[in-house]
Amino acid sequence: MKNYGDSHIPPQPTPNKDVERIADSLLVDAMLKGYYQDNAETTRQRINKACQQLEASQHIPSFRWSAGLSTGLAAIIIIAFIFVLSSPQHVQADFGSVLAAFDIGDKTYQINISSDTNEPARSGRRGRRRSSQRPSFKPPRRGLSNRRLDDATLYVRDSKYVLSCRGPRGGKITKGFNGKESWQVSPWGTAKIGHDPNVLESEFPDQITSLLFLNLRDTLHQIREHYDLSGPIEGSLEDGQTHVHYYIAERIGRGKTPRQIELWVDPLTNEPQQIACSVFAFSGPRNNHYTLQIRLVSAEPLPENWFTHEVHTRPAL
Amino acid sequence: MTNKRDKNLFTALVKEHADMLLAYLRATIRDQATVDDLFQETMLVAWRRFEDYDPQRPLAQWLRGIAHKLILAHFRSLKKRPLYCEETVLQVLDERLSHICQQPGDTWKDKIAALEGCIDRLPPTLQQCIQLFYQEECKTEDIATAVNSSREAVKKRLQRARALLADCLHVKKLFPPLHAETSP
Repeated sequence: MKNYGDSHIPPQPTPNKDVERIADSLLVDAMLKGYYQDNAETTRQRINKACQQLEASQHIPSFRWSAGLSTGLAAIIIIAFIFVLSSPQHVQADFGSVLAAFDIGDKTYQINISSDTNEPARSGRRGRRRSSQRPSFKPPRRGLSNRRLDDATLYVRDSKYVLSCRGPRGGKITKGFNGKESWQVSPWGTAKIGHDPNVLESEFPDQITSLLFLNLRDTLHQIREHYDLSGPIEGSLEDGQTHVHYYIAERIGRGKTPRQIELWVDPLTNEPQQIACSVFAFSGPRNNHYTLQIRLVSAEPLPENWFTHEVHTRPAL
Repeated sequence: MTNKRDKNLFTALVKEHADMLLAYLRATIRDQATVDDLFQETMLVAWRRFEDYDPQRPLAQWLRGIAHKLILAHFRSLKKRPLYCEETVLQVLDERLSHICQQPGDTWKDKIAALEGCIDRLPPTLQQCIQLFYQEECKTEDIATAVNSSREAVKKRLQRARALLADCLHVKKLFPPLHAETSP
């Protein structure tokens, strides 16, 4: 047993300036981690865990074999059951059915993007600053793409998409990918065509660009490949209906992709109903956090040629 | 010392000093999982030895003393001790944290409120690096890509930012004056 009775740090000779500088740097590093990564919830969890350990340490002496054996067996069965239900393979299998459901039929999603004051998808450790302390919303230097994306409509059919959003000088811009070519139709009806499916996404915030969110099919596959899924749990959206709710955390931070994503899925059809994440734009003033929400508004079939630019260059559209 | 009233008292005291203790552990140990383990272990040892605690002395210092021994035991078990973790460095850390604990404010966050003002005073390029590294938890190579710079340059910027923050905290008296400046 170690002696912790006189638990004070023994006095040392007066430190030189270099030692003090090292200590200062280490302490600033630790303070910054606490400042940015801790919040009341994480602290509460740590303390609760410590209290549970204290409880456990007190209960050990009064442990009785007969009671202990049955409790232990019950605990093993419960743990095994929970493990089977919540194991990554189980969740991955569930997510496979989400991917399969996504490939069936056409879908229309409403996009909302806003400056991140409440940070709903950023549960846990980051974003410690209070909303009142955040600088007011300012668009990044690379254009007004964030505001233009708010209220945009995204039509999806497997890897094809059409995005209808506001143009930089007003009017409506329509961007799309027909499976082979990207295209963009300006507010005055002229079309621009490119062969790179992502070339027209370049003006969007970095993390959105990296996630290729316009191509939701690829996005869902990326989620399966690079993110850890937890859940599913029951959750409700604004419509009051029960949905299956996944919490999705990036396995290894890749810098330009969202760290946490939330996904709501219809429990009957497994269709993704809503995706929400907090994204960070590197350009522009600091604290450029945006909440991105993609919500299913319709699963009605779209015209067969809806994903070609010709349809959208017509004046009537 | 196992009755419920004592345990409640102990829990309340721990809550008050949890953030300080985490700062001490994080300053010496890089791996967050190890920090969390040592935090739990410090609490457990403190609870078992609570009878030995002298209420006339600051509890924060006593907790740091326990953590100090656990940190040394941790490095002994690894059979390596980082250069930055010398006794003199640990002593300075202890002094700094003692000084912070004496600052006005009910919570740790109140006591270190000066840090936010210091971050705001950093040049924008350094602020950006600090945010990406600590808030977004990006790796230095990813930050380098994001800010169109080299990894080494990013590391230098982070180092520079930490040094400027430390200077600012000395000016704001959150850190005590340097020994080198006060000694004759």
